[in-house]
Amino acid sequence: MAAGHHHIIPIRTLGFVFGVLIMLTILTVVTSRIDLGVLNVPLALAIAGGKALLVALIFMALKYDNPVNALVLLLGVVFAVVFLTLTLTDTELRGTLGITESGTTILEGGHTEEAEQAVEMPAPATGTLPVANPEETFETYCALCHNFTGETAVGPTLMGLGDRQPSDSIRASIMEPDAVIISGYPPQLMSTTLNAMGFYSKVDDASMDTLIAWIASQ
Amino acid sequence: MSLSPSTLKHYFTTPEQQFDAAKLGMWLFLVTEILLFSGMFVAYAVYRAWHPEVFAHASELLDWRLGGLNTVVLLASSFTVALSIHFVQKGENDKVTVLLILTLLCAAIFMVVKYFEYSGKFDHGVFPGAAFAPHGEGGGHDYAEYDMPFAAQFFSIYFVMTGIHGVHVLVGMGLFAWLVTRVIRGHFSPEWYTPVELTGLYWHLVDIIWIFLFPLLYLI
Repeated sequence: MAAGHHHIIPIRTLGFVFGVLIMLTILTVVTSRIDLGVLNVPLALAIAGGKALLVALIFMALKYDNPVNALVLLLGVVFAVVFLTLTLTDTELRGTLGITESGTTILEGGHTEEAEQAVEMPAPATGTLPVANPEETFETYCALCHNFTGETAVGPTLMGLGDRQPSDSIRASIMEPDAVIISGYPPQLMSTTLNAMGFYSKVDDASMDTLIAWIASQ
Repeated sequence: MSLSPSTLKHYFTTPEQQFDAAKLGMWLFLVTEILLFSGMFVAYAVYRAWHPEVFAHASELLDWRLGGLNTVVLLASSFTVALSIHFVQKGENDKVTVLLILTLLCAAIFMVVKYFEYSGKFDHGVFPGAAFAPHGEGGGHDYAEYDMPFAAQFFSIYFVMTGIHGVHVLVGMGLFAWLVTRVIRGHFSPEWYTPVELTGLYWHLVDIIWIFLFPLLYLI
């Protein structure tokens, strides 16, 4: 085939693109070190996307190439986006669906007004829970009904909970036990017990975080 | 050209068609590579959405300066590959040889930096999977601080993503070494240089994957 059939990309163009890629790399490092709040992640992804596009269009010559190659690439990217979107739709919106045990079904809508009041009615503050020692908190408030051995006690076992549920769901299960009740377990028992023991008035964000992390790590 | 690899296969009508078919096949392979890595990017996204605090803390252990250096090195190697295709199209094979060796050197620098990053982690017990047991101090970090729930998963994701990417860099190094011997043996000409073109496409994709890995793991 004659050389004329292939587009030879000028050195100037290649050098210019390389320069832009280096500058974009510097830009993404600089902007990542400034706190832009929620904008940091989208900006970094936008810069990376721009760099990838430059590489694909010029270095990989898609701009000058038979368009079918660009179409193939585009299809691949589309499927990757579908994969990401559907997976995140599941993992972010599954809520407490992860709470399943063999032989049980989940009853949604156990969230009654009474239950909410029971949770929100604060007992007088008598001090906060230990941040550094979540195990002690667990022994005092949780171990009566829950264990990590896989046996069903008064409440369901927490064995492997960290693998089954994200920390947000664990938090919701503790702070609003009646929002979702696994069938077979009495509603309001946990919220009433914890409230009577003053758990909800003693817990704060820090002690809650370490407790959840500890439970999830068991 | 009289070289045998450039001969037209009987099932193609023109050399142009043969070249385009090879390139389309390469693009299809690159799409499977994108999908391979997309699985790991999805794992990354789910992990990050579930444990944002752990992610923010654990990623502090990665040194953006080393990641940035490797980004520049890989971009430079993409540039030299693009130049090598420019010169092979012009038939200036001496320059092609030099540029491909430069590419090989860049890839080697990338792997050396990666070696130091990995060994720095291993020295302090930062391993992927069950062996994760951070300890000791170094580089301004108290590694024991990173022994928290779900931190091990962050480093598993880090090691698997950069590890599989690193394997691709090693494969690329093998391909470039092979190309250098073929350029020296005079196998390529403006009329036929398909292996250089296809290896170049592969290398640019490896670069693109790193373009995303760098900010996602080191910066944000």
